[in-house]
Amino acid sequence: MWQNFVTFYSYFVFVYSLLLIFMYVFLLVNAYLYANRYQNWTKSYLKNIVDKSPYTPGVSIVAPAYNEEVTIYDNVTSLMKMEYPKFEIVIVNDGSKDKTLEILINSFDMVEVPYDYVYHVHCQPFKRLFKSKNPKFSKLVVVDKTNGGTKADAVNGGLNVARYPLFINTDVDCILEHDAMYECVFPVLQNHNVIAVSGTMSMSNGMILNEDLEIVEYKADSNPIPLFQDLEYKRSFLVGKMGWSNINAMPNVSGGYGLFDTSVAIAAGGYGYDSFAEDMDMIARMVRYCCDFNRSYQVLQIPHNCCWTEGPSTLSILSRQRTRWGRGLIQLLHQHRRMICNPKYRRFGLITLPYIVLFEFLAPIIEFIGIILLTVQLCSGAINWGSFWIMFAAIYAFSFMLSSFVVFYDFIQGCSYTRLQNYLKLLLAASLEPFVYHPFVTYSSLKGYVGYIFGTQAKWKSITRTGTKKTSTTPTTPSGSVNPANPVQ
Amino acid sequence: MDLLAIGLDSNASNSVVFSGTDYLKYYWSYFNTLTEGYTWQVKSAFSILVLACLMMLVLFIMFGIKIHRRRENLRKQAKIDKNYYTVVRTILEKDEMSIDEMEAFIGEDEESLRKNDPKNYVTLMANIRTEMCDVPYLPNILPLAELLGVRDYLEMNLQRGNNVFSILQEMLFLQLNISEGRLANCVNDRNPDIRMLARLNYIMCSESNPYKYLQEDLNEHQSLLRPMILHHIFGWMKARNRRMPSFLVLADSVEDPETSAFLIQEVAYWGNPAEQAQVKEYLLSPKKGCRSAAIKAIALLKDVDAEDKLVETFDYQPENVRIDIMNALLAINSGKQVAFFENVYRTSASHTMIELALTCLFGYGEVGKSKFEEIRRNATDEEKVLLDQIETSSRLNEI
Repeated sequence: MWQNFVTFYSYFVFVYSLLLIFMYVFLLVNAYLYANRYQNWTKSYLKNIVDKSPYTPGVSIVAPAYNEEVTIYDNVTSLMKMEYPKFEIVIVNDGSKDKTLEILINSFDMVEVPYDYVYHVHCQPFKRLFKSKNPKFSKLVVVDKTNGGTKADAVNGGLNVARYPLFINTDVDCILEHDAMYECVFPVLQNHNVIAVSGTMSMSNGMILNEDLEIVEYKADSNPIPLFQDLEYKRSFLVGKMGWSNINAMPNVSGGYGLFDTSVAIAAGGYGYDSFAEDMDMIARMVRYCCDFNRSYQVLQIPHNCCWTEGPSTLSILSRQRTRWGRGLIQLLHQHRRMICNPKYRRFGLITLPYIVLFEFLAPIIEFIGIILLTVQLCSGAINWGSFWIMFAAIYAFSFMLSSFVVFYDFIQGCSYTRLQNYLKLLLAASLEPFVYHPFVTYSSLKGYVGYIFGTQAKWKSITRTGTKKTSTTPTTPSGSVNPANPVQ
Repeated sequence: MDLLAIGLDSNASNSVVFSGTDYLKYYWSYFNTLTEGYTWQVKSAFSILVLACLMMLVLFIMFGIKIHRRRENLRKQAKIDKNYYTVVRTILEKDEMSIDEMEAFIGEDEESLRKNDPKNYVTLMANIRTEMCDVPYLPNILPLAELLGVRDYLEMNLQRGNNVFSILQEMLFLQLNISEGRLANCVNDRNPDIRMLARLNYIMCSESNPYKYLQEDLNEHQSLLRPMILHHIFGWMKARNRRMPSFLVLADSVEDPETSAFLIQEVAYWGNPAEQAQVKEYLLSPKKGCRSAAIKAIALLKDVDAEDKLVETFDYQPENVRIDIMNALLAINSGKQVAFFENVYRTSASHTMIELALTCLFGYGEVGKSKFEEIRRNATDEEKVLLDQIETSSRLNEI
């Protein structure tokens, strides 16, 4: 009986692995095709058109802030420097217990203004609205509201105030490229049915800024924890999401940086206020709305790096984050279970969600059971070591090859890093990932599943921010920022 | 290994000549021999391992080639920028110069200039054009492009079908009008993006019939991008005193209401006085988009004569068109519509309209502000919250 189970499970895992490899190859090829198609438009030309046109759509940047006193001033200043002809910045102070609001008010000459707040989408009660007396900060709006426990609730609070037809959801601690808004708006201009655009994100942990908060050097961090995450993010964006984007089956638009159609987001009910995977949940809601009302839609991925975010730099914070993501994933699948394998929801229901169930949700569980069985087999001496090493080598080689493609794609898309040595760091991380990082993330995901199933209460907690390194070095280019595509050394 | 044992043919001297699929057959047999006796799972895993290693080898070779090419391109571009940025910028800023004058200014003849890669000149000119984007028309750009060999480079690539999409964009961006015959291959291309760009270039390049394809294109469903590029091109045409299309005739003939609306609005920017006077008639159009566009055009033209018509049609319009009418009256700011705004404030059931009416009153000069204060004096406590909000927002906007 036991032997039969082991035999069945080993065949099951083998077939599962082959399917997974096939899916990755499928995504890799689609990502390449999409990248080739996307690269064709000349950025400088489109920028010129957008800058001069009276038809340019306005964009609201909605950024929730909770206990961000360390970095709020830097981050809002960085947002103000965005290059785009028509935008506003909506900072949502989500019941911060520290001096976040005070710093905003004092630094940006904010005054409370009377405001008839309309709840287009649900969120915790609104308290006050602030605008700046200083014309330099006229684009800035601060919404003060009661804490809702999740980022989703905070974003809804900002969405109710956003006045432009497009909005960008970003974290206030993210550093955005100056032309990030152009990058996300271009697909909307080219295709009339685009409802969301996802920008590529990378880790900012190793970056160096000057005193004017401009990026002086794009570097991969030497700390292994952000380095592994950097590789993981690049793989997710440059292979996974680009591949999905080519067949219009995107699973999510990252909460760190994504552009959405405001009217569709509101019509879909806004963000799920209790959601822990609000980025995936939002896309599921928007797609559901479009399919229910027989409306064509596209959700696209930008291959270029738009956003740099500070990732967890310690294992405890990383574990908390991944546990929350695991919880959010199972919550999402439960809430949108009717969409799975439902042809009404087009490719999202027929391809994306089944893929997420099989290869994202089930993967940690299958791996966990596999490790237990492997341990038992090891102890009982029942392993054919020749076959074991060949199979292990095959999986390892494939995963390293995938990471190599990620590095290659990043390079041909315009280079995230100033120096070539940073790519060598990434490749080193790729070689160690299956042994070190991946098991840890799998364990955290399982914790999240268990927490959701047994109803353990979970809340958003503040992440300890260290901020990005600053130097007094001034940038060398006239625009004031280093173009990472140029000086590969 | 004895090749004959695998079953391939060989000639008498024991060497083997492969052709066509023989290579595949050989390696397949070699693989089977190597993994003989192993299960299919192990064979699959081994083949994945081999393929992954081969792919990585190919990838690293491609990576090396890309790095080398990128560095070469950067080096060449840096050299061109260093040697020619200042002179090219100066030439583009000047009034019309002949090719001989340009050669004398640069200090090199055409033959010497054409030794450099024209692709680098294109990048240089595109960067300068970006910096000078406020200038609608650069009189020296076309002769300069001829001198540097850029025009020949673009035409040649267009003819050969190399990087057509990029070439068409560069032509549009640099506003280089070439012979319309060169575009013949592209104006009916299968790829919709190439077709769109080629036809937009055709507008700039054709002296005889620039709008030959415009009506057909406008009947297709539009993204936002085509109208934005068209607006840009119309600006260039106007700056060069070239013939403009009949916007209102086109607006009547296209089926898509959004496109009609775009054309009506364009009258405010590039239309002749007769067309601009005719825009008022679209206030009674059965298409809501056209009515909105006509109202926006009237607002841009600040046509005081159209105010009465705007007010007359107000009651028959849906809310979003009413919003456009109120914004138009505010933009015209003749000072005669205070009573109208007050009436909207007092009679409207929609919160949005009430808010807008108050905003219009507050922004309507001293006359409007005094009426605003009068309303505040008689307002209830609840109404005062809204009035305070409007006043604060408006004052902040004024600052």
